[in-house]
Amino acid sequence: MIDQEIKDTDNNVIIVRNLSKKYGQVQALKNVSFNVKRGELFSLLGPNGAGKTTLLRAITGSLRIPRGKVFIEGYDVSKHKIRIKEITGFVSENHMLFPEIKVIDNLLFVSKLHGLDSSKARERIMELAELLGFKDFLYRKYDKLSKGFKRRVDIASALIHSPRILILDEPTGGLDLHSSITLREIISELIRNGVTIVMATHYIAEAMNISNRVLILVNGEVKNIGEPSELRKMLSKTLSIEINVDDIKSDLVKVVNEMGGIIRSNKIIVLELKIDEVANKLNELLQYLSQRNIMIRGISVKELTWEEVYLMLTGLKCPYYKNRKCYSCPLMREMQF
Amino acid sequence: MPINEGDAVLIRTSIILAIFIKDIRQYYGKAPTISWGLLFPATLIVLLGYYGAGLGSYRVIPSLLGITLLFSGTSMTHVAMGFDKASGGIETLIHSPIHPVELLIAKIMGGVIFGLLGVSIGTAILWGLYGSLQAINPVFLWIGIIFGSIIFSLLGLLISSVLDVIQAVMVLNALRFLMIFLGGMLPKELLPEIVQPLAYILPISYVNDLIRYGIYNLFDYVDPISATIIAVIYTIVLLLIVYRVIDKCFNP
Repeated sequence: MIDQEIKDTDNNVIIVRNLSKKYGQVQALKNVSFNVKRGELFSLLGPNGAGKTTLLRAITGSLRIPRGKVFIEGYDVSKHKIRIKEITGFVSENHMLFPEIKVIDNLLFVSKLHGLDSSKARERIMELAELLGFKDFLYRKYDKLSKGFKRRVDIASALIHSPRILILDEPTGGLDLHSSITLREIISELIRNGVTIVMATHYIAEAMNISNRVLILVNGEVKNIGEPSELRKMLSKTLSIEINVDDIKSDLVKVVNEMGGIIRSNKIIVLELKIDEVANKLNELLQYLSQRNIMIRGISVKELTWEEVYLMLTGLKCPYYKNRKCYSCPLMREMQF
Repeated sequence: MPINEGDAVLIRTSIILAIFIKDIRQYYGKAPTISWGLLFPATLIVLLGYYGAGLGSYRVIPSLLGITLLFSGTSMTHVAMGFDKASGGIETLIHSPIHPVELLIAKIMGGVIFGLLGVSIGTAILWGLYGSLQAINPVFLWIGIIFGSIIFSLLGLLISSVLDVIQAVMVLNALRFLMIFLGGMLPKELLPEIVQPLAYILPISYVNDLIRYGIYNLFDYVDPISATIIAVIYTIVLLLIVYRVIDKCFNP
């Protein structure tokens, strides 16, 4: 029976409220709350050990939840574990089928676990093999497949019972570029077919480019939730402007430093300016350069990369810039190295 | 469309059978199952059945059947659970709409059937060595065989659920070899006094007593009714522990 208190789900198929989980002394999840809307691709983004897998397991009913609640399509996950597994499909970050069994027999076995009869199961397997592109490998043993094809078969096994919600844990982890791109296309196709997908990943570009919304999880805590464009905007209040000049005079260094900028490689002025002060300060600097007859060879406005957005949002340190002490790093002031 | 109760039972049963058949297809032919579950007890039967006749057939035959149950039951469940865990296949089971009890029943079924297969082969070899075997109390013989196969299957399942494949085989072998020596092959009077209490703790002592009483109307440790009660207690306690462990896999 659907729990009355959350019957009106406002098109939210997954509702997570104040979820906390501890493993011994380690707090894996801290008061996590969010909703997932029907038909969206919702990504959990975070570094290794952030609590993504724990959160996914809590959603699929494969985890004891000591504090908080998870509802899927109105069902309380801790009370309706079997029902939850009937309406969701799960793909683990590790391959999860039986290695010495043929692909078709693996899928037939999984279909029996879902109570499908043999003829319907075969039809569904053919349909999925066509959709996911492994029709030619149905009669091969699972452990003879490449990582990319194993992952496709894993996804097929999670879709065998036509779930409305698919949970993917690091689906492209360990895959080559071609396989990752193919898999992202498959994920997009599933979304077009009306499947709601919750995906954990630590690939920033993947999450930001294909997701409808992203949740950023660090040390078991939600740092941010939003559409990728919103998350980028949130951090785009600062611009990094690089001006390539032909000559640097000593008083120029002083002027640039007074404006909060630095000189790099003896010819590049790097300024980090707040959006509302760009016009004034840039005008001031350009006038100064013109008075001193310093030739400008180029101006570039650097937008934050997804990696930089991610580091800012998670509050993590950038090991590369930290070691290089590179003052061009736009994160320099945001992050305390 | 809502499913009626009869259909639901049928679906649950077919799920258990699917896991059981998958295990048979995947694991009955595996090297550790064949070598530890069938070849080792068969070799022991040929060796001790032939050269151990001096101890008396009433001592050798029930002990060899008990040892066969021990090795067959533990080997099959150890392989079935251990390899499912090692390959990641257990994840598929955990994330499927099955109850931990259904997985428990399916895994035990594999061990029990393999135990019965081992005992059948053992009986055939003993038949060849000793001539026809007659059971004086067939009910107790069957109680011994059935409970023996369940208890040893549960033991294999328990150890392979909490340890990885290699660690589990080491712990299992330590226990199995201990049971060969302390579990009734030698009369308890011949055992050093210090280890005699240990023999009373081991389930194989009671399984052997039940089989011995079934075939020869004799027992070594306790009377058959007490042995049956102890076997039931062993079964229930192990079932509860293994259920707890498997449930923990489903809901860590």
